[in-house]
Amino acid sequence: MLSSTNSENPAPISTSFLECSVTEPRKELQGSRDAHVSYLIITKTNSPLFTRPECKVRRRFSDFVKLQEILSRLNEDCVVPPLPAKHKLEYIKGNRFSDNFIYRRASLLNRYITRCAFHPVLHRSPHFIAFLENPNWNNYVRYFIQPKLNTTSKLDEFSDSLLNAFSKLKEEPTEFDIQRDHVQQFMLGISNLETSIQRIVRLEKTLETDYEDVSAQFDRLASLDQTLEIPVESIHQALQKTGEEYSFLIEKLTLLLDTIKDVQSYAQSLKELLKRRDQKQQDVEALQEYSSKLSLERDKISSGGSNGFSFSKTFDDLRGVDHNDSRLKRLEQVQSELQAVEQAIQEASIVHEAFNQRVREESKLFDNVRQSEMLSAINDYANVHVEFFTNIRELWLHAKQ
Amino acid sequence: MDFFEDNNPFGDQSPNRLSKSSKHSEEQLAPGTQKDQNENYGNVDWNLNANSEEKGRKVAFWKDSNIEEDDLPNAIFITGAVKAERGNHVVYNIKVNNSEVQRRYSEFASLRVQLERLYPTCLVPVLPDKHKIMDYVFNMTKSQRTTRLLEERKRLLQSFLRRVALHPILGKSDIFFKFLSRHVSWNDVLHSAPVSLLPKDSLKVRPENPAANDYAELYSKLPVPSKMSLPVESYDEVSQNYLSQENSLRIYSLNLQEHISRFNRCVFSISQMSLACSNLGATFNALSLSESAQLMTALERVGQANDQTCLSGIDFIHGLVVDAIEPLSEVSKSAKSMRHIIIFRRMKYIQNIVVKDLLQRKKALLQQLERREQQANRLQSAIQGNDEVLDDETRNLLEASKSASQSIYGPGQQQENLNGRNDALHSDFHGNLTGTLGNEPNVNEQINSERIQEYARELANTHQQHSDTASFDTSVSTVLVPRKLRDMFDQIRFAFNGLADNNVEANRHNTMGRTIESVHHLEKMEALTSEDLEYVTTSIGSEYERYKRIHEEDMSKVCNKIADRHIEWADRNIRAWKNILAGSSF
Repeated sequence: MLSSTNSENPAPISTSFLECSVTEPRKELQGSRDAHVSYLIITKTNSPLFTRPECKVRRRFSDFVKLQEILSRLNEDCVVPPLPAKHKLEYIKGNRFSDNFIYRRASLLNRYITRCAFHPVLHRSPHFIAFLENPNWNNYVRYFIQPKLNTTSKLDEFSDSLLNAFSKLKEEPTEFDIQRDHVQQFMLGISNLETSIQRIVRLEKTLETDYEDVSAQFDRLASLDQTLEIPVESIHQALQKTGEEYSFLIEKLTLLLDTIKDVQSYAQSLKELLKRRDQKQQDVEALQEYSSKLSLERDKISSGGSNGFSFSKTFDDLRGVDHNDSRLKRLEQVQSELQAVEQAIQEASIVHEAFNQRVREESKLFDNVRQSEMLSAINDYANVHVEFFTNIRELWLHAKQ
Repeated sequence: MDFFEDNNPFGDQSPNRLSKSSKHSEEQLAPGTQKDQNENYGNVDWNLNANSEEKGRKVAFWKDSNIEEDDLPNAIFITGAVKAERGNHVVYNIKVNNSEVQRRYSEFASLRVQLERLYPTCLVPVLPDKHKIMDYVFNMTKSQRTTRLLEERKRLLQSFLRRVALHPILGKSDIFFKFLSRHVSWNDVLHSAPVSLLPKDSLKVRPENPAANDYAELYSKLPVPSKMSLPVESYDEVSQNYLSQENSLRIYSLNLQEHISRFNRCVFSISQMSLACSNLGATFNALSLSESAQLMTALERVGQANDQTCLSGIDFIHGLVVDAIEPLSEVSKSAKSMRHIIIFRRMKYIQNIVVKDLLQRKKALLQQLERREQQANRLQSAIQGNDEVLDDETRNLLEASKSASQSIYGPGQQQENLNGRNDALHSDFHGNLTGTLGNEPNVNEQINSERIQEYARELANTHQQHSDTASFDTSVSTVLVPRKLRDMFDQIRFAFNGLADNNVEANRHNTMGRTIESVHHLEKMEALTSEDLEYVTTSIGSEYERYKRIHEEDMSKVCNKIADRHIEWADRNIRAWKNILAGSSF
């Protein structure tokens, strides 16, 4: 069960469970150049993959970044949850140590870890486990992971993508295309939602100041008019508190906005996965094309060589090569190549099919995760508002007395 | 009075009138019952036309309309606003129980002005502004704005009529009834008594009954002072109190104005928010379309909740405007009105003081003149009648005149450019008189008698003139002329008197006569103004009490309404948002 709160989650009903939470942000090494904020990660599990059932480690944001890189590179067929944005602007402004910022980042990191833990593949990854329990994470990274990462250089990916950049998928729109469209639509809707909520938050800020102004005016009125002091005073209090309620609402809605942005970037990850899948498909199709070309050539050769005049024939004649011989030899060549290609295609298809299957699983997972996250976000949204209005009602009822 | 007989809507004894007015019921009042009603009116006579018949007719009006007097304010409704058949303006339908009348806004405004002039000590309720400056603008078209303005005016005009009806004096006034009556054209009312009898300035009329013309002449001669005529420190205690009330009312109404503008800003923000909420609701709804199952319903519900927030926000704003902002503007204007009435009282007070002051001065002047007359007569008789030694009094007079003239001219000025004649006279007389008095009182009496007569008269008159100037110094004088200037004027006057061959005595008699007359007038005026001041003070005192009571009621009503509206808005929203949670499994 996913939750966006910082508290410990109740255990899901399964034989093996893994729950993590990110809490207690703490400022480390303040004053030095390496001042940063570290987060405590508490892991409770009964899975045999872990060395002990409970571990606590402290990690900083850059550690998370490294983990993200590792996971995404080594698990290409997974939708790795996205990390919260780096917020470079806040770094420059020097706000990255403000409580509000740290709080928001901590909740987003919590969500990240929970998602990873929830993912059937990722949470079994040794690197993830190491992240959760290994106290010497930095060394681990440097000595074990980095070399592996370096082998799969970026250049390969780059060349792959460039190769297939201008070729389109041959097949008709597949399920994956539909999925891609879905994701696209979803992301668009979410971004609309984001802007609307942002606007509302801004308007609520103005409303808060307006309420403050009106309540100040009532205060002045109370001092002017002695007979009416009591009712006017209570109205003044009520108005002021209403303004405060609005400021609380704004805080909570800002957190909600974070959640929405997060869901959006999660959807983005899925989109990237789909793109990778498309690329793989293009690879396979390129192979298939090659094989069909070869078979065409073979047919051509076996059907009795070239009809009519050809340079190769005359050239061969000049060299005194036997036509038939050479033809047979060439046929053999093509045949063996074709066979190799066919085999390669078969293997690739299997891999590709497996990959497709993984992608399907991933999207289903994503869908589930997305739905549950959104439902919980809506729940929070509704709760926040109910609380807001109930409080307002209470304080105005109180004022009437 | 003819007007009333002809267009009398209140019914009279003749049965012919029954069919004409729709306000008549079938029952006819017997003369006996009318008298009973008159007794119930008590001692107070508030009516313009202190005519018992008129009173009777008014009572008949109440009876015919089948309403209790207490209910009348609530029986007044403004049911609609339509475009007039003739002209391009809007008329408002006023419905009083059974009868309806149509009046346009300017007639309301004119009613208010006339009520203020006819009852200057009464607090007349307030009207909506003529051209309201829109502090805030919804995104509305022109027609929508007009509709809103019309609605606002209807509400405020209705409130105005009800408050007038509630007032113990104004509600029973003739002019109010005429306004509410269908058979009376407002133009006619304006051109007939009592309105046409009203003079321009309310300070020149009897506050109890401005249209009455007893003492009209006296009243028209009343001075109209400015507020600065009397320094604030010299007010009596009552007036000081009222002055502080005046100031506090001003501050209060300013505060309320600020209030209203801030409330308006709040309302504007809420309106913006509501729009944004409805947009958000639409976004949620759009999102829900591409989803399924639980998420779809959840999103739909969220969209609905946001729509509810928008709608309830709009109702909330409407309620705030009607129940809080409009009443607040009414309260602010009432505070201003009350302040004006208190200022009126202050003006009356100043008027009274000024009149008293004038009276004192005139009386002093009269005293002076009388004394002069006495002394002149005595001198005359002393010189003409007997050759006795000038009695002590006249000698004192002569001595006094000498010293007075010396003191007036001052030691430094004796060398100055005095009138040569005066000097000569002095030295001349000095020599003669001391000589004759000291040595031979009875000798040369005849020779000098004429000269002495003439001189005495001159001296007496000079003394008089100088004393006048001197007395003006000591009495309450609002004009302080510098000494040199005064002397210059004296000399000029002296010279002119001599030139014009003035008969000082005749002059003096004339002046005395005039002074006596003005003293009489001023005495009467003083009595009138004092009486008026008394009346005004008591009347305003009770109005102020009433104002405070109504003000308190209004403000607490406003406070309650603000709370109510908030609660209502919160309730609606709670229901809408709880609905989301109800459907989910969380």
